Amino acid sequence: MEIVEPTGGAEISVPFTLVVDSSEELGPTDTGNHHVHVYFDGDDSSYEVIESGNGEEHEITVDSPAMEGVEPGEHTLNVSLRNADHSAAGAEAEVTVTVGEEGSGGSPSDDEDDESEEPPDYDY
Amino acid sequence: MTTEPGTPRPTVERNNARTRWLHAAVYTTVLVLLLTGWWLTLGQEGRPSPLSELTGQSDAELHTAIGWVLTGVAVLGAVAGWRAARTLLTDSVRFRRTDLRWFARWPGAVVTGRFARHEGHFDPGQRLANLALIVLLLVLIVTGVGLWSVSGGPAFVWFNRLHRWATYVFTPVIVGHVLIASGILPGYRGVWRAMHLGGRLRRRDAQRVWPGWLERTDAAASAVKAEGGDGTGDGDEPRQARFH
Repeated sequence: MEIVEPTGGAEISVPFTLVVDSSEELGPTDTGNHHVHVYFDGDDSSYEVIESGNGEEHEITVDSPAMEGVEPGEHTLNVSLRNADHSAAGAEAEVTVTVGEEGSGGSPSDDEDDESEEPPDYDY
Repeated sequence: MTTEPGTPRPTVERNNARTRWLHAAVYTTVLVLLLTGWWLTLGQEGRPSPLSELTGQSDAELHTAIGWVLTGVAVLGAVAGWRAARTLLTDSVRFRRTDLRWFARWPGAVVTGRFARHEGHFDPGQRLANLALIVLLLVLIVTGVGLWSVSGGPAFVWFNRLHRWATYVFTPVIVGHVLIASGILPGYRGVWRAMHLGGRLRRRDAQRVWPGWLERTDAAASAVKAEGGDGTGDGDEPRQARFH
């Protein structure tokens, strides 16, 4: 099992794209296939579940359970191949990444757009 | 409160301590399994439930571990209490034609408390619920062990399918059981005492819900008294008084 993207040492901003490559076919639990748990710094108490595709792009957003408690800075991104019953299948991989400020790489937020707009005029 | 010698106590023991402890172990484990199972089913995997945060275990791990505890409790209950388990089964499968009248009056009696008479140790609705719960728990335990043993693959798909569908049926049955046993419905007021604390409920509640059982219990207690026991019903109500 391998983390294709992000690469080791990369600087990532949230949301970021994750690509994993596994020797096993991935799928939801009810297919009986394996899936992947994604988490940071070896703490698998909160994790994102990847249930589809090998080499497919997955977006990890700020709402992902994997991002819970992850502050900007250097972190280890872990992936763990899981059996359909969620037990560890043995294969794991990790890369070191630097997480940037939240939303620093994302599209400009609506709030920023709102601030640049003139307040609406109301006729009373 | 004192009781005149020979006067039946105002309460009657319905379940002994061993039965109550077994029931408590089953409902505690089942509650945890339902909470963690539904949490995972509703797509919350990876996001720790309050129970997961409390224990430091993931919901999937917690579900598996508590599933084993329930399996152990069920095996222990069936082996150590095989006589009680057999009685529970035989009392639950015994139906009479007159029970139809009980079912017909049940919707109104839930509110008024005027149930049709039945002779069972359990009322006819309780017997149906017992059978449903026993079968569904058995399916859930067997498929749960199956899910654990295969981890994935085609057999997992079938165990998973059965486990989920059994849960879909089990959940409303349990909700109904809790609704009735809690005594929220006027007809069942006070029956929660039968399985909690001392397992004693008021005689008037027992008379309303399990009239035949109460009469047999009283008759057996009188027989004990005639043979030299005190017959006050203080722990000497025969719990095996049954109808045949």
